[in-house]
Amino acid sequence: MVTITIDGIEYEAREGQTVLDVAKENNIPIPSLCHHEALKPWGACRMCVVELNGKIMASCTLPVAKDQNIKTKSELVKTVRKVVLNLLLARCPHSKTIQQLARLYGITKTTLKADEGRDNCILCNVCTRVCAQLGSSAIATVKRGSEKEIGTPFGEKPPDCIGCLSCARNCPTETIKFEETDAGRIIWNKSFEMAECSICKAKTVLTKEQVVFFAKKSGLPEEYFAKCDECARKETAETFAQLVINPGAHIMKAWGFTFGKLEAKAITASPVLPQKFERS
Amino acid sequence: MRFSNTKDLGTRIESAKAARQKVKRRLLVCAGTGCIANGSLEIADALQKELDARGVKLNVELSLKKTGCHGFCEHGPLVTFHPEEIFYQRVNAKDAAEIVEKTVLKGEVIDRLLYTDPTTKQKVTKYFDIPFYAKQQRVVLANCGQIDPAAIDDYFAVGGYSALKKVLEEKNPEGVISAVEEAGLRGRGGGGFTTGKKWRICRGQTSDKKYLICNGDEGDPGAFMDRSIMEGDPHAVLEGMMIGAYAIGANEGVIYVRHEYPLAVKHLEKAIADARACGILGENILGSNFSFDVSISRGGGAFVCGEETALLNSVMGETGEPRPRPPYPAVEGLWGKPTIINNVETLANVPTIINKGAKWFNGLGFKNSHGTKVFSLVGKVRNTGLVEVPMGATLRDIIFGIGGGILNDRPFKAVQTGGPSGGCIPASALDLPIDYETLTENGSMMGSGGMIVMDDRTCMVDVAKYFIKFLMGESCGKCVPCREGLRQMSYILENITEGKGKPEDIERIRELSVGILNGSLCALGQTAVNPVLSTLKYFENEYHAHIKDHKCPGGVCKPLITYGITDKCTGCTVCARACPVNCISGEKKKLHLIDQKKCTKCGACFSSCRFDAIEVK
Ligand SMILES: Cc1cc2nc3c(=O)[nH]c(=O)nc-3n(C[C@H](O)[C@H](O)[C@H](O)COP(=O)(O)O)c2cc1C
Ligand code: SF4
Ligand code: SF4
Ligand code: SF4
Ligand code: SF4
Ligand code: FES
Repeated sequence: MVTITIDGIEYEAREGQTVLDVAKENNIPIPSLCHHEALKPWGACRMCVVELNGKIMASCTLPVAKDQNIKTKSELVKTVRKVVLNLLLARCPHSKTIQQLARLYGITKTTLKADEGRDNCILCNVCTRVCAQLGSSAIATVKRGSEKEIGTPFGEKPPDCIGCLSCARNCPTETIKFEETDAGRIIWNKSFEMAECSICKAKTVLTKEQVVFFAKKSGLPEEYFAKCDECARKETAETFAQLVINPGAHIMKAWGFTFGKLEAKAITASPVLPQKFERS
Repeated sequence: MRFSNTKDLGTRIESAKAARQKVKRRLLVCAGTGCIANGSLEIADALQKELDARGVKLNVELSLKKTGCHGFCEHGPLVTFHPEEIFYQRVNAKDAAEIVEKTVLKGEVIDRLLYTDPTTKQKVTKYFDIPFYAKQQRVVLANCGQIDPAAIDDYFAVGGYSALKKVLEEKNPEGVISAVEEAGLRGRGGGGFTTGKKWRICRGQTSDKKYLICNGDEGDPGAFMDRSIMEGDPHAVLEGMMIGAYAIGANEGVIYVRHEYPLAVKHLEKAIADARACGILGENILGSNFSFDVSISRGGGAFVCGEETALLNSVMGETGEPRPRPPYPAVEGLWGKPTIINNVETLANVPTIINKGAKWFNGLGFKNSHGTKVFSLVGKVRNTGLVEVPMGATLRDIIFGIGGGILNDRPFKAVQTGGPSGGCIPASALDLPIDYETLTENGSMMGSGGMIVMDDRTCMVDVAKYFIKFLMGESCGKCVPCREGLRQMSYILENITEGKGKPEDIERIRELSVGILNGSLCALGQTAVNPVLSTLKYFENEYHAHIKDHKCPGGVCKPLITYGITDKCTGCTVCARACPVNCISGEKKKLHLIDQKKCTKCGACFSSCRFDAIEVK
């Protein structure tokens, strides 16, 4: 355990935690956009900046250390966050997430040149990182610098995409479009059919590609995964217990495998708007 | 020849030195990238033929060598003759016969090939009488241009690898670190971090594996100091790496070289192979317990890949984007192992520190900056090239002493130091000593040693715009302040240079700068605003002139200038003929006139007039 000070108050922190972790645990409001609980720290949006010994640091990538004295409300911190929001608002003036966050800092309209006709992507890379973490790496950033964007290989339908929708559902600005019907899904221009239940033949909530992918990753037969809600529910808790100790357990967990229900949304979307926030 | 211990190496060094003493007459042809491009290899061949034809016994009576770069490429191809130190410039293969006939055989000097001092208009015979060289102090560049970089024996002959020998015989790793620390060596790649301190942090890490990386990315446009060292004295870089690796406990090294540097790669590869064959590199170096080997990794050419954490990712085959710090590379670097990344010039200083002693090195310099620094002097200065001066020399020493002053005797306006993200320093700072702290305090930085001189016909807003655009193009795009901030900054500057600036733009620039400077993830973004902030600091009036008066005092921003013809006009008609849109009228020997409505502001008339009769307003 180490003791760190945030805004004059001492907190106990565990070795290996970041300053943002500690702040979140203690309900200290620090806004963040590219941080995602299930992913490794990325440090790209610079929304979560704090001040340490007069220097601005991103709290999501700052490991706690003994006697750290962190300021989250200094003028410099506010200025940097405001510049970041001003810039993001110029990039995607129509993003609700950014508008909302900007308003907390008293910004309703960017003072900079606003882009029109661009989507709401803020390049937080949550989508690409989620996809990579789940094992597909179907999408990536393309180009560099101010031309950077999220894309698929050669701009085509991504061959490795299994239609899990994790990218879209975790995108803080809801930029990634997808369509969903009972029979199938479309994302990144690629169409997917839902797998049939291996027991009753009804449609499941997984795409065929997802079933194949899970089976391959876990070494379990495809039938394990191809189950509709109803049939899955009938499975005993014991079967599930077996599942979570098998080698595919982390994948199951990542997708939030709950009793009988596979839910693609388990890596929770986390554009974190702090609960209480002083206006500045 | 494989040395099984340091004593054997010592014997070899001594015999190589003796051999060099014996053949004192040396005809040296510069075979650096610049001179090769101008045909120096053909000159070397021609000289060889001429010498053979006259029966001169090579390596007995005289040695003919192809060396690395002298740093004065503009005057290349260069041929020098020693021990007389005769300096021939702009040599052609056709001159070979005459050089051999007159200079080699009769000791005569060929006037035509001598350098003319642009200030005094006098011919200069000897290398070190040329002001460009006379005022330099060559420590890191000492061997560049003097030895054949492809011959390990040439390096032995100037005492090469005696530092490694000394370290293995007399010093433990801690002793090496202390020496480098005591010398006060600081990184030459940008940050100026104390090298010894960095090494000590890495040495303190327990790990089965550690790496030492030599950063030869050199992405600054126009800079070629690291290239010249790698090409001209590759063994010095290797020796520095070996000593560093010994100090931190690394057994694997990587030299990261930019892909546009094929000759550097070639010479480094040869050096590595030769060192391996000698038992200087590889397992149990010179019979000791110390094992270390080096490989070359070729960079993709992006400026940001020179940033140490982006470089690590690039070497590992990942996207060349910086990583957040901490963890610092010294703790968690290449493949997650403790890694030291040092600049080429930093490492090339290490053997000298060991050989000449920490005290000697520490005595050279100013305040907390020790040793020398190599600068790449370019821009509106008479002599351009690589210059090495002791830390603490003034900008005036470099620009006016070595550089010979401003081209065409125009007034000096500013000098940008430190590469694209350095600041522009005005005339009032010309007499300040060059050291890490002074440059930073004055809104610029040492950086890797770029130095661009600007005259009065430079627009400082335009300069700021140029560098912001360059950096915007080189930003990796990972973090918001740099990616979005530089784009917005460039819009604002673009507007100002087009006469569309608004008074509030100045405040906007300042505010954006605070965000970019403090908020960016890596040093590219953190330093990118230097060109803007420094020009605002020293030349704010130029910004106002653009915004309020719609004038460009430097006469550069087209939408804000007009060309006019003054009564200095002699009516020579040259401008009228030069104008591509035929908008200059006037009779012979009468004052000419520009039709402002048709003028496209191309500047052709301005550069064509020999009577200085065309003015920009
Ligand atoms: C955008 C950027 C580009 C850089 N390019 C180089 C380079 O080309 N060569 C270099 O040695 N250091 C470069 N650096 C500095 C390195 O990150 C690092 O500080 C340096 O290699 C450390 O070596 P030193 O301590 O010997 O100076 C760059 C830094 C940044 C931010
Ligand atoms: S739907 Fe799933 S697999 Fe496809 S790109 Fe998104 S996260 Fe990756
Ligand atoms: S699409 Fe969404 S998740 Fe992906 S980088 Fe853009 S904002 Fe982030
Ligand atoms: S500061 Fe610029 S170059 Fe550095 S990580 Fe951020 S975007 Fe990339
Ligand atoms: S600036 Fe160009 S277009 Fe204008 S008068 Fe001179 S030559 Fe002609
Ligand atoms: S940089 Fe910390 S949340 Fe984005």
